[in-house]
Amino acid sequence: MEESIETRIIQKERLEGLWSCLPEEVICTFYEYLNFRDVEAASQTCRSWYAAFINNSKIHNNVEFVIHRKHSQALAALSRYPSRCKRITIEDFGLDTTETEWEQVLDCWKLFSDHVNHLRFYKCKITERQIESFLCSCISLVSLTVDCCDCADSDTDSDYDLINLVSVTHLEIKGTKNEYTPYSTDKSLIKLTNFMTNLVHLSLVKCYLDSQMLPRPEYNIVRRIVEPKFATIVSISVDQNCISRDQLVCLLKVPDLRLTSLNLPTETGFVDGAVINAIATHQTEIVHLFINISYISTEHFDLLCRHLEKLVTFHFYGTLSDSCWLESLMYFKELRTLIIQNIDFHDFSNFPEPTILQRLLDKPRDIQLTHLDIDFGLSFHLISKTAVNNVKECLRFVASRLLKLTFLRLSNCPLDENLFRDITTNLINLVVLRVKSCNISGDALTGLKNIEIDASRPPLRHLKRLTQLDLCDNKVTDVSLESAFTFCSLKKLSLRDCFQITDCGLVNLAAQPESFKRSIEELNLSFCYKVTDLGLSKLLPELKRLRVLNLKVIFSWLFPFFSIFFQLIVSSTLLYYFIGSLWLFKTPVYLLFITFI
Amino acid sequence: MSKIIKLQTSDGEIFDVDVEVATCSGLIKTMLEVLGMDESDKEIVSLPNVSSAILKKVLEWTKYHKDNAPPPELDEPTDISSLEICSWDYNFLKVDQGTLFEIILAANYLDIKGLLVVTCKTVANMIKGKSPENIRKTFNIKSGFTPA
Repeated sequence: MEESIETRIIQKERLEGLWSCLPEEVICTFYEYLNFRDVEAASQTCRSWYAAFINNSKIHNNVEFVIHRKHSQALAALSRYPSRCKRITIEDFGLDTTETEWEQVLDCWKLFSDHVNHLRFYKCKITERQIESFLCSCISLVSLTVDCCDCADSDTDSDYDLINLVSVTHLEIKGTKNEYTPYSTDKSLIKLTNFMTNLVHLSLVKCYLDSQMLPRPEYNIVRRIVEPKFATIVSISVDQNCISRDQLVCLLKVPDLRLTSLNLPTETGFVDGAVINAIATHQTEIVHLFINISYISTEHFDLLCRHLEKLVTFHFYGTLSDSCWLESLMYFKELRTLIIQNIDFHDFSNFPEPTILQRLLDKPRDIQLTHLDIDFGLSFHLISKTAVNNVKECLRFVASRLLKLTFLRLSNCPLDENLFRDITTNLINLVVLRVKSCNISGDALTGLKNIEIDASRPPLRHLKRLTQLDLCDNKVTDVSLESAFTFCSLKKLSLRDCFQITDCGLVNLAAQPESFKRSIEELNLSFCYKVTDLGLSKLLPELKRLRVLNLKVIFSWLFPFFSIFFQLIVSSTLLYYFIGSLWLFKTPVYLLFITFI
Repeated sequence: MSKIIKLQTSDGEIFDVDVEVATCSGLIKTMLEVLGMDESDKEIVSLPNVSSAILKKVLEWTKYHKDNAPPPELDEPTDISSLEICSWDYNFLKVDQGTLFEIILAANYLDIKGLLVVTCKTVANMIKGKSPENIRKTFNIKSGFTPA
């Protein structure tokens, strides 16, 4: 007994100071996996850990240092690490900040304003003059973000020399309408941009400039961009709050402007034929495009697709008058990612004409698309049977031609057995498959009712590369879980909102081959409210590599939930549990109502 | 038949190790490249900075990741900043701090990137969310240091 205590003391002495003598590069490796606050705490423990912190420029390049008014130590911290941090956020400095506090901040600011590359103001209520006082001493600033700030107009024009801002390449200004109004006038913004002659990326999303209300040409940001000195810009994000349609058209027609990225998160109806024309004729170098194309005509859409041959990422949103998007895909030679949201189907009923489809299938050229994301929107369930059939035709096309797809997400569309089989047999390169609310039945998953397929061979067996499968809100049954994943080795599996799964289903999962059970790392069983601790206790010990388990539940009875919780704590070797918040509905009847919708 | 390399630890014990497994170590790999494979067959590579107990652990790790999936950090560079480690590694690193410390030193010395990443993540997990005082307690670091 005495001996063991003695050994323990020796052991402790041996350990004392051990961690202080690690090589500096090892300590830096620790720091790579920590956020700034933890790194800061660790650096204060001993001399060598502090030295590792101070001497490693890589850390300072990557961490973002937040100066928050509520952190009383922020100022002290500032002076402790002068001239090291490259990314700084100034947060929550309001109008109630006292003069002395400001002076302190500005004093400390001088210590490292030389080195900061990325500066972000977040939720500040400050005057433009104050912003300028920060900016005038930065000599190597690369990006400036004014996020959710309320910038009051200064009474007098400031006389700060902002010539240093020539190094800025990224400018981003955004807010939220009700609370924050960045730049009560754009006069000051113009002043800033006047100095930023090397700007590459300009983002003015949700930036409420008063040029809309009171057009004053001399202060108009767009007029300024039109000037030749802004020809360095290649990436623009704007919406209807800072620019009118006419201004946007003017902007797109600027002779020297060659955009590669255009982001127009505008409201429905803002983008019209004139804008499309301007893009198609003047900005043919665009590689990334996000656009709301609601209510534009087929001809205009076709025009857009025909001219933007270099497009790699195409993300569009809103109503399409028919499914011309399918044919228009053919124009893109380099397209890799296609994201389509909220298609409206009111005018979809007479698609596709057989001839169009025929032409498509005849075209020999391969489509390079690797990433397809289509959300058919909630209106889908309300439309006619013909329309449903037409959409199925489209999806059949997708399954038969887009063979290079690695990512496929389909939301709110009907996938019957045959269609699901087509997708799984043809798109063998899929790595991620997400089918949300697609009405997939248990039989489709197992291929049971299909005579051509052997009952023991579920359609998913073709997808050898599949690692992520999301079956959220489908009619997955207990029986289907018995054989659906037999040949899969998934890392992430989501069965969220699959109400029909009970404990039997989990037992079936537990009886799957080793290859399946060994590969699963993340499992989502949230809102499967028929699942209880019994089933989980059968399944969880089998999943050796599980790291994340999501059990967010709708429960109108509490006890099973708590027993699940304790079961998890006691019984397994898992690392993390994400047990989400507990949603309580008043009656199960309401729940059923939601299910049937 | 795969080749065998002899490794001698600081306490004199000699290990016969499959070359495939041994070359997970950047140090041994370079050594073999410089010396050539044939000569290394007969000679014993001495590793003065690694004890036999630790080398056993390190070899256990390299063998496991040779046979099973490679450590996830290496094929998913986007995930590099996440603190998650696989459950086998988690159980493997359930050791006392002295051993963990020596495994880190050995991984650094032998230049085994995957093992270094996993151990450093483990340490980072121990640091996360703690105050300087708590970190000192956790790692038995001598106090009495005040930052300048």
